[in-house]
Amino acid sequence: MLTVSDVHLSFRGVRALAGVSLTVEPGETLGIIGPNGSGKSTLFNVISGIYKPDRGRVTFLGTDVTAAEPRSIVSLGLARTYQNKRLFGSLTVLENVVVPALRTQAGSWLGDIVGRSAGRAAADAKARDCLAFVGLHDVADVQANSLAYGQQNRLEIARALALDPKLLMLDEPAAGLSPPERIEMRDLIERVKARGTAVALVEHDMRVVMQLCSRLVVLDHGEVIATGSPAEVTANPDVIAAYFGVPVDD
Amino acid sequence: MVWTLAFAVFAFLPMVGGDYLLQIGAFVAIQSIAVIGLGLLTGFAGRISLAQGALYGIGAYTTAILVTELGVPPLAALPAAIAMAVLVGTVLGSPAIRLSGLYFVMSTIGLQQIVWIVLIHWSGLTGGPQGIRGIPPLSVAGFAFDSPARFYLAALFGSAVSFFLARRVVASRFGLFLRAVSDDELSSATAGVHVVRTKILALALSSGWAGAAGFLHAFFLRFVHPDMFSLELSVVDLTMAMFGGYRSLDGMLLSSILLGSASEYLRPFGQFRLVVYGFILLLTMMVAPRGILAAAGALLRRR
Repeated sequence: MLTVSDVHLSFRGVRALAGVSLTVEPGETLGIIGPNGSGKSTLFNVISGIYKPDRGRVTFLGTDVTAAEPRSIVSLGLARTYQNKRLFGSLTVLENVVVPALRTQAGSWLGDIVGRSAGRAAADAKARDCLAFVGLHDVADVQANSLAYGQQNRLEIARALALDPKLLMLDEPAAGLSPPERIEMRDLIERVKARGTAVALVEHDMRVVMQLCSRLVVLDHGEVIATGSPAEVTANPDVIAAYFGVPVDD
Repeated sequence: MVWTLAFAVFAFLPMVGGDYLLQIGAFVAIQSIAVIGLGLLTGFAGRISLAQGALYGIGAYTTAILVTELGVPPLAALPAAIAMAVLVGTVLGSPAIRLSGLYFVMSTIGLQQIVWIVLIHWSGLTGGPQGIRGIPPLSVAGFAFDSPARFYLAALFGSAVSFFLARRVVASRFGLFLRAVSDDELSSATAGVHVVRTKILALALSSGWAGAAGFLHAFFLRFVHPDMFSLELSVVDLTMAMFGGYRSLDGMLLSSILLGSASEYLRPFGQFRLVVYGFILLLTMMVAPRGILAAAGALLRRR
């Protein structure tokens, strides 16, 4: 459903992505791993339309989205979360999810001025469903800023789910979580998968990655150095070298 | 609820106050409309504008020209004043609304100066430095608001309508998007919000409120002059909006009342009045960056 082909991107001469190609198939969970600075988040930013690549193409469900605006990519069914938590801090938890939930609702702001529109109520209901799905329904009226770190990760996911994504891109959803929270996060992603949503997962926690992903792509210095099943990839000498360095021969 | 009551109480001012008090009251009511409009931009969209005085002036001049030169009935000038302010504000402001922080502020100062220069030099249309005199009193269906008490009530009504309408705007989905965009533009876009359209709409509404204030202003002194709509007015409006606070229409209305009437107590400062306003703006940013109501609330909670 998602095809990234030969994407190049440099920032003022610094090579961030150097010919990255990958695909995500419907219903699949693809893990994207690699050392820090290998270009994983940059790749997400290119796919979601925040960066335009210097070269290469991104297509989603048959549509070329290489030069598309983030908003139109979202409307095709591609949602994402952010590693560095870009919540609407001054809004309540519920409002954070109502914003994306309103995208598909009828009515306009002028209608809201006259009276409480049906679209608004439907968006509220949908947002509450998403919060219940990620387990944040009891903090719906709390300001997003005051959420605990682990809750913020889940709110990011609820916000993305409110867009009814066909593909959900998760950028380090387990980073900074305690071990029990990691298990909860893994179960949450498992339930997202069970809905039939394809997932692209950037994650450092290898246990989470191994348990969730059927296929892995390994990035290093902006290049794909390995692709395959978790078992194949972890046995690949290039991958070991990227993570631990090349062994020195005596 | 509190404000409905407050507006009702203010409606009895003509029974106790003299003409002087009523004129201050009318001035405050008119000013509050422009401040609330500006507040949609500063308090909710996080964009600071120093052009509200110019857009206010566009509304006032549009009204003055239509009523005196073309003999348009006063009330019919209201939609025209609003439309003209929205047109100028949106056309000149849209390219700048994408800019962030200081760059946007600078561009609004440019807009402010352009409008003032046009008002003073396009004598054929605006009367130039002579201004436009002989504006008839505001009248609706034959009833003239020609005494200070009557005009005060009309201005108070305008202020109440603008306030309650602004509350509905803020509560609408547009208000929600506006707050989301000012929290985080990038994640608003990836949450499906049309970021640029939201910001331009904020600009348009803010300009419209300024146009409505200008409409009333034209009938207040029944005379318009370019210097009434100079950078000074923009600074005063901005001070009131910032003093009122972040995301608080209540605070903006309260600060319009406090600072708007203060502009009368500050008359003895003469030309240094603006310095006092600048000082208030500075103090607000340092002591209560989220405005008076937020600061008062924080004080109360600390007790």
